[in-house]
Amino acid sequence: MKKLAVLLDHRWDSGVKTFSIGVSLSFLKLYELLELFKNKLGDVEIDFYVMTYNPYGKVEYFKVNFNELYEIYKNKDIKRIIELANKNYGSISERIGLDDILNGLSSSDFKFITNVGFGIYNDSFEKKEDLDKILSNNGAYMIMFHTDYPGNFLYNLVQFINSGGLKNISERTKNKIYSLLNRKLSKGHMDDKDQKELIDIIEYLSNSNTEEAIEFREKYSWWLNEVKKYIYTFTKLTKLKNVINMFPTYTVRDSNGRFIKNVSGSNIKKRIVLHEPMYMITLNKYYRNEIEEYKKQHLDRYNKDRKINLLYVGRRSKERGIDDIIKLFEDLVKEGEDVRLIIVSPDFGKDTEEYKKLEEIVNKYGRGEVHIYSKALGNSLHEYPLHYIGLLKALGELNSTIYINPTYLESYGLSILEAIILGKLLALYRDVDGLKGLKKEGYLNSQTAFRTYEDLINLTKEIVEKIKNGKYNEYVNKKVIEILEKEVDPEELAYEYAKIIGEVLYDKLKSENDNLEVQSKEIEAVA
Amino acid sequence: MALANYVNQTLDKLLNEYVSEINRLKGLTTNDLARESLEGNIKTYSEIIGGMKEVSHQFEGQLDPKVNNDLRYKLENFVSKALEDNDNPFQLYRIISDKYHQEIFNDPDSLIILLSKIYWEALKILGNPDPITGQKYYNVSRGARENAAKIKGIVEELLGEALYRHWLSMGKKITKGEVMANLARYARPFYGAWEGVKGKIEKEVERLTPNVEVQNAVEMLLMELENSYLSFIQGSIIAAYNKRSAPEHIIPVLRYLSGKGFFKNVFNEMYNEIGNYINQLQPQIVQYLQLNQPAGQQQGQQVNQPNVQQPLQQANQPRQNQQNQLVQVPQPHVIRPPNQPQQNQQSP
Repeated sequence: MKKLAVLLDHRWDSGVKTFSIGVSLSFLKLYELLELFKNKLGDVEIDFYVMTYNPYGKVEYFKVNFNELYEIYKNKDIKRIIELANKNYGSISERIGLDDILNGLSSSDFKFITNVGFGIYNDSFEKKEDLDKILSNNGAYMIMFHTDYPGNFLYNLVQFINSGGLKNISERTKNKIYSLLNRKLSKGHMDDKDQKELIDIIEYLSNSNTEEAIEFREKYSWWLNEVKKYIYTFTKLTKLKNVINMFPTYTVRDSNGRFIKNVSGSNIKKRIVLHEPMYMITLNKYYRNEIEEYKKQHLDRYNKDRKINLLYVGRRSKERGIDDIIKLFEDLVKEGEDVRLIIVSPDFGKDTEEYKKLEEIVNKYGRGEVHIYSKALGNSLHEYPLHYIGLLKALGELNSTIYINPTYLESYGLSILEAIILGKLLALYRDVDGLKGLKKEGYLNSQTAFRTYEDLINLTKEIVEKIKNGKYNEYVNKKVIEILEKEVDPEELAYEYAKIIGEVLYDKLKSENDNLEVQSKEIEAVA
Repeated sequence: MALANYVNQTLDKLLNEYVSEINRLKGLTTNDLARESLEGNIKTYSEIIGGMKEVSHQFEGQLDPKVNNDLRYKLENFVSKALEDNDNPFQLYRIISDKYHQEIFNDPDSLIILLSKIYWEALKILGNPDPITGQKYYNVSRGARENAAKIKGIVEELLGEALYRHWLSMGKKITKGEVMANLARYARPFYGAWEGVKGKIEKEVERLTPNVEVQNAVEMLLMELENSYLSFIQGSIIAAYNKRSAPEHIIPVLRYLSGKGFFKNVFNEMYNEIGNYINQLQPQIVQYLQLNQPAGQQQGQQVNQPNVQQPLQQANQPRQNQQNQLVQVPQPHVIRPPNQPQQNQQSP
C-alpha cells in the first residue's frame, strides 16, 4: 500500500491556511481519482496532519480522520469541509505528539508540506535533529514556498525601525534599509545586489558589537533566530534529492531561488510553479443557486445609485497599503468625486485610527461614503464565505467597481484573483512580487498596474472617467478569467498534483534502483 | 447521437468508395508488390478512419448535459437568464449559428479560416503568444504539447496548400515555399476572422437585450459550443495520427472531408444537438421560475419550498437544499456625511 501524507499548516488565519484548505480539497479529489484506479494502482492511504497554536502559543499537532472527511467530500458537502477546516478539523481529529508526526511522515512514500516555514516559529522544532528528520533524503516530498522571503525580511526590518523601539539605530543603517525598500518598490523585486546587501545587514545586526547591533539583538534576537532557521531550512533543501520545491508564481520562484543561492552558495534543485488551489472556486462551483440569492440581496443595496465603488479587501496594516487607499479616497472626494469606499477587512473596528480618519474625511468634505464589513464590527462577510462571493458577483454586475490592491507585499494574490474570477472586477494592483508575476504571466491586466501613489491616483482618475463612459469591460479580460478559474480550481489541480507525485515517486524508485544496480555491480566485482 | 451517426456514415462512405477503387486497381495489375502495396493502403486508411470514428463515439457524452456537467450548468444558466429577461432562448441561440455561417462557413475561405484557427491554437499551446491579444498559455501539460505538435505537423501542410491556392486564385505571384516559410504570419488574418465572430455575436446580443447576465450566458454557451467543435476536429486529427503516424495519408482524408462540407455539417450537428437540449430544458425552467416567484405573485404556492429546485437539482450538489442558509447577508457599517439619510444598514 502506498502512503501519502500532507502536513497542513493552520497556525495563522492567513494565506498559508487558505492554501492548506485548498490543498485539502485537492487531495480529497486526488483520493477519489486514486479510488477509481484502485485496480491498477493498488490501495493508497492519505493522512492529513494539522499543526496549530494552542492558547499558550505552543505548536500542537492533530491527525485528521481522513475517512470521515472523505465521506463528507463524497456527499459534496463542501461547505461542511470548509467549516471543519476553518476550525482546524477539531471535531474530526485526534491530538498527537511530535514523534507521531515524525513517524507518520517518515513512513509515508510521499509527503506534501504546505509551508516551507513549518519549523519556524515552532517551539517543537527547537532541536535541529527533529527538523533534520523531516528534511532528510528519506522519502519523496513536495514543499511550498509561500512568499518572497527576502522581501519579507526586508519589510520586517522596516517595521522594526518604524516602531520607534530602536533608539540607537544609526542614520546610515536606516538609510540602507529604506533605500533597499525604495529600490524594491521601484523595481518591483530585489535584484542580487540588493539581496546581498540585505544579507550583509542581517549579518551585521547578528554579529557586530556596535551599540545599534547590540540593541537590535536585545530586542529582536527572536527574529534573528527565526531568520537563521529559515536559512538552515533553505540550505538543507539545496542538499536534498526527491524534493519538489513549489512556488505560486515565477517571480516568487526566481526571487527565492536567487536568495537561497546568495545565502547558502548552492541552488535548490527541482522547482515548479503552480497556482494555489482556491477553495472559494469550489464553493462557487457547488453553490451557485444559493450565491445567486446573496448576490441579489447585495445588488438591492448597491444598484440604487450610480456611484463609483472602490473595493479594498485585506487587513488594516501599513504593508497592505491601507494608508494609500484612505489617501486615494480623500483625494477623490476632495476633488468632488462622490465615490463609495467598500472595505472588507477582519480588523476594522470603530476605535481604529483608520476608521476615525475616514469619518473625518466624509464629515469634512460632506460627500463620499464608506461601507465596512469586518469581524471587528460584527458583520464579517467571511464568516460565511458565500456571502462574500455574492458581494463580488453583485459588484461585478454593476460595472462600476474598482477593486484596488495597494499591498507592498504579496506572495500570490488570492484576494485579487477572487475579485477578478468571482466578480469579474476591474482590478488595480501594485506591481510587486507575486502580483508582478501574475501580470507577467498575462493573468492580470498590465494596464492597471501601478507602483507609486502618484500612479495610483492618476490611474484611478483615468479609469473613473472610462467607467463613466461605459468602458468598464475594456479592462476585464473574460477569456483569461475563464482559463484562470480552471487553473486555480482545487479539483482541477488534483490532476496536477497526481502528475507531480507520480513523477517524484518514479524518480525515487529509479534512483533507488540505480543505487541497487551500482551496489550489486560492486558486490559482483568484489566477488 | 446524430453527430456520431453523421460522422460514421460520412467516414464509412469515404472508406467504401476508397476500398472499391483500390480493389478495382488491384484487378488491373498482376504484380504482387503492387497488389500488396494497395492492400497496405486499404489497411492504413481503414485504421485512420477507424480512429476518427472512435472519437465520434467518445464524443457523445461531451454533448450530453446529463454527462457533461459544465455544459448542463451553462445551458441551465442560459435558458433561465433568457427567460427571466423575457427573451426567447432559441432566438438568442440562433444568433450563434447565424453568425458562424455568415462569417465562416459560407465564406469561400472557410477551410482556411478553420485551419488557421486550429493551427494557431496549436502554436499557442507550443508557447507562441496569441497573434491578436499577445497573451500566452501557461501551465500547459506535456500531453497537450505533444498533441499540439502532432496537429501542427498535419495542419500546416493542409493550410499551406490551401493558402497557396488562395493567393494563386487572386493572381498573386507566390511560391509554395514562401507560403510555408511564413505560414504563421499568413494564417494570422484568417485566425482573426475566426476570433472576430465572437465579437459580432456579442454585439448582436447586446442589440437585443441590455441585460448583462443574458449577454454573459450567451457568451458562455458560445464558448462551450466552440470548444466542443474545435476539440472534436482536433481530437479526430489526433486519433487518426495515433492510429497511423502518417500525415501524408491523413491529409487526403481531411481534404476529402472538407470537400464534402464535413466541417460545416459537424458544426450544424453539434448546434442542433445542443438546441434540442435547450428545448427540453425550457419547460423545466419555466416551472422552476414560476415556483420561485416572489410571495404574493403565486396562488396557493409557498415560496422557497425545500423541493422547488428539484427539476434543476444537479447530481453533484446533493447538499445544496439541505444546507441552504438563505439568510440575510450582513449589512455594511456605513459612514456617510451627517446630512444624508441612513437606511438599510448598520448605524455607525
